[in-house]
Amino acid sequence: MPRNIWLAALIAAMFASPLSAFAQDELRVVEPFQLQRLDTQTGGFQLRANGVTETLVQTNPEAAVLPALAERWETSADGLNWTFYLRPGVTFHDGTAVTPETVAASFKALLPKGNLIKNAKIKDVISGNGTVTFTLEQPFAPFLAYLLDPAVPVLAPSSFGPDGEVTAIVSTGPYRIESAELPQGLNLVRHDAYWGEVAKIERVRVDGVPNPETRVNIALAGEGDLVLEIPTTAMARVDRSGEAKIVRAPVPRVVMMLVNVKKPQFADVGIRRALSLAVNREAIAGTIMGSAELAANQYFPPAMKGWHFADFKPQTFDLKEANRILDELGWVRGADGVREKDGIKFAGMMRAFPQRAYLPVIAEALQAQLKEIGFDLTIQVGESSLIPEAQNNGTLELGLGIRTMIYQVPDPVARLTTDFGTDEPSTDATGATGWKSEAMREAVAAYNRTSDPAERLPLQRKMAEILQDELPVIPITFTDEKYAISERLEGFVADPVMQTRPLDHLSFKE
Amino acid sequence: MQRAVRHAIPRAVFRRVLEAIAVALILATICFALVHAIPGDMALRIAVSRLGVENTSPAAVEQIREAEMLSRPLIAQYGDWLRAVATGDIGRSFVSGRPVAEELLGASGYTLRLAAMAWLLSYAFALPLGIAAGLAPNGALDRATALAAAALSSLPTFMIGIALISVFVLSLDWLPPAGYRRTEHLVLPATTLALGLVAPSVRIIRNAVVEVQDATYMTYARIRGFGRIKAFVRHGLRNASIPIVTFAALQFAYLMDGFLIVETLFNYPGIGDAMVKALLARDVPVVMGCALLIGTSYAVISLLADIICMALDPRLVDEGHGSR
Repeated sequence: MPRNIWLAALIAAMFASPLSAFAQDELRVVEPFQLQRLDTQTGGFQLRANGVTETLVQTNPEAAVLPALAERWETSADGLNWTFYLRPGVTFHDGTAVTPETVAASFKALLPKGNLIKNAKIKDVISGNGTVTFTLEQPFAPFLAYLLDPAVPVLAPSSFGPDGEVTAIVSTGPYRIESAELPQGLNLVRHDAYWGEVAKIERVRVDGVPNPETRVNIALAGEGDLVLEIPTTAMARVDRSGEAKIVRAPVPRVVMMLVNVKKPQFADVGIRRALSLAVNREAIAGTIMGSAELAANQYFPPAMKGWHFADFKPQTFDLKEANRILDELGWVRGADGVREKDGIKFAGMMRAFPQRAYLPVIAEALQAQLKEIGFDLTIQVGESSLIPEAQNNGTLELGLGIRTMIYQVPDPVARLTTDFGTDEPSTDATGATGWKSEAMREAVAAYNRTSDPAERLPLQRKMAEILQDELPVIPITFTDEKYAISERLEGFVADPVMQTRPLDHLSFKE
Repeated sequence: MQRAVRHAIPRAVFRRVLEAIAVALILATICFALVHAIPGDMALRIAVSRLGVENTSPAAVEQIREAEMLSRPLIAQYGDWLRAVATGDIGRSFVSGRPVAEELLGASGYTLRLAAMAWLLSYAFALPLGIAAGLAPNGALDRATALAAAALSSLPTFMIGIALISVFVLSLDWLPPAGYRRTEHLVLPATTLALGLVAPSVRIIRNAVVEVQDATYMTYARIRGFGRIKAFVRHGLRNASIPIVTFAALQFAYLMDGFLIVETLFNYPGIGDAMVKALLARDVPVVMGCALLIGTSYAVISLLADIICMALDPRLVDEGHGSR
């Protein structure tokens, strides 16, 4: 029966080929991001967070910059030269030594790829005797934080192709890439010659699963050891499953109402204050985000010491005061309950995007709450890139945006600069729209010149105060990160500044 | 295979190749128009997908606009793509930078496995049920399958998938909820698709069997003393197969629709998953490549159905096509 043999062979080939063995002692990390390319631009943050790439410095949970591949550093008196003393005996994943020459060459190749680090205006990188020196065009006090731009890690010479492009990720972190299955995932294996504490778990599988419900199912089925970004609505289910438990960690992220201050109905800061007073943040944070404590009464969350100020007048829910302000400003309610002034309706369309499931829900809550002060809010849920496009062409009225303040560079000033201190067009659904403040720009510039923490503090307060008083954006709620941790895992501590998932500290219970 | 059929195959292949080219090009053109009709700055969307939100700068957006020549008139972009396709080059992904052919090859392998398993599963259920229902029309089994088919047809694919996950993953703990690395990862997505296919298949098979049962040659066979089942196996099965084969080919369209949902739900890296991501990222070359692949696959499956139908009923050779 030759035909049957062919058929059997065909069926066997179909089902036999793709499947690799599944190691029970493998750490299974499930995150919402899929790597499209194995380079430091697209995947820089994921590669660093999963312990593959490193640079000269690292951060701790307080966002303080600590030594990593550099043991120590010093700055020249004029603030233009930063010299890093390399840690001796460090090897790349391919076994070659980390030398001043390889580090300098890596920076020279990758610096053009960094979006944030370009603000440091690095003129040159020179290797010395056990040192690497960066020469800046002008003094830049937060240089150490910007050095953590994940697009610019330290890579071995074997990472680069003949044209200088990144062809492989060979760095120094506690895990090295064994194989990549793009865009689905990465197979990592322990770097046994790691300069720090060697990882306890030998193998890690990182899967990118963008669909939140699928991540929840993976957590519920006990198929993931560390599952990121569990939706609020699924927390109780995961906790009850017996397979995993939820760990919540505050993260420096704010959900805010973007307001185009060029539109006549939002131009007056009094109007923006009235809108802010009409928002019941505790209700939104409590019901949608799962904790009323996440209500954002100012731009920076309480965990951000030196940026959050308890003595600021909070933006509390006060409908009476909101209505009083609007009456005083001459906005009169029409027969339909919507206010109007000089033929301009007190109305606006809010753009939101569905990638974060809670955003459209928050938009609907705002629609109901703002109606109480005679504001007619319409909602359009679409792709996130429509928001920056509308910001740039001036058509945005309102938007619902998110900002993670120290997501990549552990200094909020990096994002304050792009969001509130530049004339460059927006590329992200966040930041000011039509609002410009010279005071803010001066404060940012002064901060960048100042390395003394005591001198910086008043500047930090000044920046936070401007945002609180002028309300170029209206903060609504902070968010927290919800991790599902499998019952067999121990040692997990969430990094509140979201720089790493310390996989190397994790172990399986005996 | 009879000589007439063997001679008819080249003609059928030639006609289907022409059809494949036409279908694939029409599909790709529609996709091209749709991708460009989606509001939003294409260069920004590509930059965000390629570099990540945090690494997307205005300069990077303009660089991508320039490098991918997105500012040119759409007709010029389309013309370039057509010229490249004519030389066998379907381009590189805007997002990953890899050749589209390479990306689709990987994804189509996964989808082919999934499709094959779904098809086999669906007909493993549908054939015995449909034949049994058709052999006893209006009987208990016929009514039960009609009811079940109506219920399954009314359920959207994602609902079937979620229901299967609830039962076989979360309650019984028999199968993994998502993935692609192990054989068992195929079971739930394939079953989800198969259940969607079973519902109409059972009814089509049942109707074909009923039609054949009423034919005069079946009455003659029974008069000759054959039992109902023996008569059907010897004389009815072949005739009933033709509409079934034709319908099985048509079901590919349903499968394609199902891939988009099932592959997302089960995080399965097939063509549907690739197309959804490419659409979101405005990765035009990948979207167009998917359209070409889907159009061509549809034509190939139709060709196979033609050949099978011609083999089953050589009279169709004279009509110039196989499937009814």
